[in-house]
Amino acid sequence: MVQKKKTKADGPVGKKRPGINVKSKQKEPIPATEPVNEREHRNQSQSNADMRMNLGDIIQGFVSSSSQVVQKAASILEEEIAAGIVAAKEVENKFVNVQKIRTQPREETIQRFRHDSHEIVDILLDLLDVSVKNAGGIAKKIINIGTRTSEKGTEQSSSDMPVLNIPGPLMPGTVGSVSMLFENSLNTPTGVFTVACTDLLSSTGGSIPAQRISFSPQTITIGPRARQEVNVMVAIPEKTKPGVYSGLIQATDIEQLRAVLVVTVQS
Amino acid sequence: MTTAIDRYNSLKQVLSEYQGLAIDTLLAYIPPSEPRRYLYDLVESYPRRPGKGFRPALCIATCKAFGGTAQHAFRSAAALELFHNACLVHDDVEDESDFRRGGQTLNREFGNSIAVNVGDAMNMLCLRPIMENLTVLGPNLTYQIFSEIEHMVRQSVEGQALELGWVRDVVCEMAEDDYLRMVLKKTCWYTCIHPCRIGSIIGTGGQYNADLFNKFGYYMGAAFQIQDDILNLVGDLEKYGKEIGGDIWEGKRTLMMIHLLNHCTPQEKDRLRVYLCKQRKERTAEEVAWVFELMGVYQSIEYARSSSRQLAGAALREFFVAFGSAPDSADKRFIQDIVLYMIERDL
Repeated sequence: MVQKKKTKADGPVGKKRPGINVKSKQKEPIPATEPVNEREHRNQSQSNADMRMNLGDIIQGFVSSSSQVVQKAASILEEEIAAGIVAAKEVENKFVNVQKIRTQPREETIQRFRHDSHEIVDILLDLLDVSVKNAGGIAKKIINIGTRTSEKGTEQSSSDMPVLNIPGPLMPGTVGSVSMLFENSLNTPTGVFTVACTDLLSSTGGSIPAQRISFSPQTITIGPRARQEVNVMVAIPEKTKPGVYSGLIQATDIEQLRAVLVVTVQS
Repeated sequence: MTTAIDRYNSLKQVLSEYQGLAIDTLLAYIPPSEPRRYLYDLVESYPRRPGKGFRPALCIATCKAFGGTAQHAFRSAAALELFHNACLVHDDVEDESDFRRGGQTLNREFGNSIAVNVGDAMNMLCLRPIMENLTVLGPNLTYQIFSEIEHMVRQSVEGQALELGWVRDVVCEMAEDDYLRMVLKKTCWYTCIHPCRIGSIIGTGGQYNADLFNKFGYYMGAAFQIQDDILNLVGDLEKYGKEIGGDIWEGKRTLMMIHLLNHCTPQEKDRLRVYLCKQRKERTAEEVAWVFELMGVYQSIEYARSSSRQLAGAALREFFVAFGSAPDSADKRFIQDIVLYMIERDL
C-alpha cells in the first residue's frame, strides 16, 4: 500500500513499488513458481492478444468516425475554439495588421496590452530602450544593405552603417517618409522577412514610439540578384518635442540588414 | 526497418538534446543575484531534474521542420519549459505532493510559502525570453507568440480551476466530455498544441496555418495525459518520479475515476462520494486501496488505456494533416516518431 505521508528518510527512489499494492482484477500476476517455458508461452499469448487489441484501438482512433472518444474530443475542441480562439484571433489579427494598429491612438494600444498583462508592456518598452542604447555595437555586423544614396556594402562598421534621413524637418502631427533599397547579391532568393524599428529617441529624452513607424510592403522577399524598395513612414505624434530623433531599423531573420533611421522634428 | 526500440532511443536522444538547449537558455535568464537561497537557487531546482522535455522539443522541432532555425526558437522553448516548471511547482502545492521528478517537491522541502513564491518567480521569468524574441523575430512574430502564450496560460489556469473545483465541490456527476474538456484546457494547449503552433510561427515567419496543429496536439496531449494518469496508479515510483496512487489520494477526477463513478453501483457510488468528500489527510490507505480495486472490477483502467490508444491513433492521422506540407526532415520524423512510439509501446 502506498503510504500517504512519507518521511524524508524514505527518499523518492528508495523502494520499487509498482502500482497500488492490492489484489486487483486488472491483471493477475503470473506466479513465480510457474515453469519458465509455460510462463513465456503465456506471456507471448497475452502479448499477442494485447497487440491485437491495441491495434484495434489505434485503427479506431485513426478512423475517427469509429471512435467515440475521438469524436467527443473533436466536438469539444470545436466548441472551445469557437468560444475562445475567435476572440484571441481577433486580437492577434489586429496586431498582425501592423498598419492598422499603428494608426490607432497609442494610449488605446497600450491599454489593450495592459488589459492582458500590464507588466509585459513595461518590459517591452524597457527592452526597446536597451536595443537603442546598444545600437552602436550591433551595427558593426552590418553588411549588404543599400539605400538610394549609398553603395552596396559588404562588411560595414558602425561609422558607415546606412543612415536613412527622413526629409524634413517635420512638424508634430505630420507624416514623413523615405525609401530604402534592399539588394540581394546572392544567387538564391531570400526567405520572407519583415522590417521593424525601435523607438526613436532624442538626446533630450524625447521619444517617438515604434508603433508610429511603418513599412511598406510589410513582408519582403527578394529574388536572386534583385532589389526591393521599401518605404519607411514616420507619423510624428502631436506634442513631440523638437529635436533629432534616431532609432535602429532591423530585418527579421537577416541579421546584416540594419540601418539607422533619423528624423528631425521642429515645433 | 526501424524498431520501436530504435525509435525510442532516437527519441530520447533528440528530446534530451532539445531540452538541454532550452534549459541552457532558460538558466541564462535566471538572475545571478540575491536572493538566491530561497528564490533563484530554487528556480533552477525543477528544470535541472530529469524531465521529458516534450514542450521545448516540439517547439524547436516544429520550427525546424518548417524551415526555421533552432536558435530562433530557443527563447520561446525556454519560456515554455519555464512556464511548465512553474505550473509543476504550483501543482505540487495545490495537490500537497511530496515527490516530483525523483526528488522532494519544493513545498515539502521548503514549505508552501517559499514554493508559491518560487513558482511566481518562474512565471515572471518566462516573460523576458518572450520579449527578447523582438531582437531576432521582430515585433509581428513577437506579438503573435505573445498572443499564443497568453492563450496558453489562460487555458491552463482555467483547466486547473475546473479540476480543483471538481475536487472542492465533490462533484460526482460527471461525463467523459467533462474530462476531455478539462484535459484540453489544462494540459493539451500548453503541452502540445502551443509548442507546435509557436514553432511553426517562428519557422515560417507566421505564414503557416497554425490551427492545423490543434487536433494533432489535442489528441496527442490527451493520450499522454491519460497515460500519465494510468501510470499514477500502476507505475513504478522510480520511473514515474511521483507518488504512486497520488491521484486517488487527492480525489482527482481522472478518466478512470469518472468511468468508475459512472459504472459502479449506487451503493458504491455513495461510498465513493463519502470518500471524495473527505480531505486528503482524512483519507486512509485502506480507502485508497478500495477505490483502486473497484477501478479494477469495473475495468476503468483498461477503458482509459483503450481511450488513450484511440487518441494516439487519431493523433497519427492529424500528424499527416498538420505536417503534410513540411518536407521530409529529421525533425519531422522526430515528431512522427513521438506518435509512433506512443502507439508501439504498451500504453
